[in-house]
Amino acid sequence: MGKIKIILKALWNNSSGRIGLVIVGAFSIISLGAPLFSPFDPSAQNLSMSVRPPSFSHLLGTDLFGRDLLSRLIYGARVSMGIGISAAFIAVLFGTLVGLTTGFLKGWTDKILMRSVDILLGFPKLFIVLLAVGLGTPSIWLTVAVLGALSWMEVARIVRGEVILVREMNYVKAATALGLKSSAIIFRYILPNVISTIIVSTTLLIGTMILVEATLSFLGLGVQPPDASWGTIMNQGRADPLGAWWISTFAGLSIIITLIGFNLLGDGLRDILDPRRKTT
Amino acid sequence: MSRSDFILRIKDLTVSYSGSRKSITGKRNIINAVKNVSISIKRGKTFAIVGESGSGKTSIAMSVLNFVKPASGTIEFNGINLWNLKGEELRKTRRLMQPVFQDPNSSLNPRMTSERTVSEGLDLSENDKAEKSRSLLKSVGLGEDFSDKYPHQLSGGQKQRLCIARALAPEPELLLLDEPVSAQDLSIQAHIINLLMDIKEKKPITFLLISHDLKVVRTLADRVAIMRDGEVIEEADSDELFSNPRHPYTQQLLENSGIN
Repeated sequence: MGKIKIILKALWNNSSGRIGLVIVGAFSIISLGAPLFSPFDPSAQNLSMSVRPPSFSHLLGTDLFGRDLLSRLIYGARVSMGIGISAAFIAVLFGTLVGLTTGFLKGWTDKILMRSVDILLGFPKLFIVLLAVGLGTPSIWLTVAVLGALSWMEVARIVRGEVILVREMNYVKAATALGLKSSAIIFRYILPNVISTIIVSTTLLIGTMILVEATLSFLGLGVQPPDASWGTIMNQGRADPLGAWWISTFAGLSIIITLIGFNLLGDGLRDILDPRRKTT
Repeated sequence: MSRSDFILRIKDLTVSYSGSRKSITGKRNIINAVKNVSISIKRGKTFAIVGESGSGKTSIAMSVLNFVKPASGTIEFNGINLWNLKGEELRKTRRLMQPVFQDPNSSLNPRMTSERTVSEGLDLSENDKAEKSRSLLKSVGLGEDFSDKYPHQLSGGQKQRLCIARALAPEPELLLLDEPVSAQDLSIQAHIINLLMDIKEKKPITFLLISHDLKVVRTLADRVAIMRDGEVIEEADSDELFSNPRHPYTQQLLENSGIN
């Protein structure tokens, strides 16, 4: 607990970290407490109120079915951020596992695994997404799985690079000389010294995942109605982008602000966690 | 000679590194860092390997510690070739020789407190570990206050003391001191050297000292081997070497260091 407090305090004193913390914090609170914050039921249709511009009763206007856009965006935050965080988590978990293994074992295991990663990185991602969606039915879970499966390779590369640096440190040699087992060396000497890199790349990856999910949903390949993410809401505004401008605009703004928030938070975390960037 | 006379016997040791390739299909050129070196180290004595940087002295240490596989030759520690051991056996045997590196900054896990660092080398129950690591810290001059400190809260000299305490934890028979003081200020150097002499006095322990600093070598060593370009060019008892150096290179080294 003490450590978390120290990190939060350091983030607050970091200019980009503070903005990131505020944005991500605000959006997290809003999506967690969605029923408290949304003025209307997000799926209540009212055809007499169809496609109304922002007004006092509907702050951000309504969509084609007369649903309140603000409420839909608030519930959409849950879906978008939920998918982004879960997909990033899967990617980081798997990527860290592969990165630690390859970085620590060296030799043939490393060569084979990393060449596989190179091959996987060479695959056109959109093609795989289309294939996955074509084979299954588009849903939230499929989106999470596909995004996670397509992003762990970058994490594996970053983690491997860090592990190779740490592995050559004399404290790892000293631990080996003490006769410690490989598992102890990995979990007590290597992982704690690469964890800050992992935290930073997780934060940045969440932002990317939210953006990719929005793209997929905008193309109709991600989240399907009645579920709605920011991407699906943007897609609904596509029918009349100039007339009903508010639908795509506010959905797009939500995505942009969240993305900026996670990127700033990631930058701030990198500043305070990476010992090589420390100025003091 | 029986096993008990020599703790470490190095026979015809050659250590090579493969350099970079000229092209993708090209052969790697092989660099011999150590060439056919034979050294025997008597139990309980301090043996120093002296040489300039690049002379291959650290490569010998890396091979002895089982980190760099020799291209040829044998290393026998207590009559056992470590390179023939695996798994549990290797872990147990290698505990008996512990390294102390030149740069204490990269030798300490930044995420571990002093007490934890030392206790990692102890094979005891959790309660005994805490007590034993504190007494080890105390024995190198780091009192109670230092137990909960992280490496970045320690000075260079304190870090090196901590490294020595960690190395002593598994009760080793051989301590490999790779330039143990050359990263320190002069006054700290003296403290660390005194500490090492203290340890030597209290325990039946063997030192393999690797250094380029002849003053340190003269203070600590019983026997000295001079290395140049991967080869041992002169080996003699310390008194003999410093009073009557035979090889011109040794004479030059002594002259440059201002000892004679």
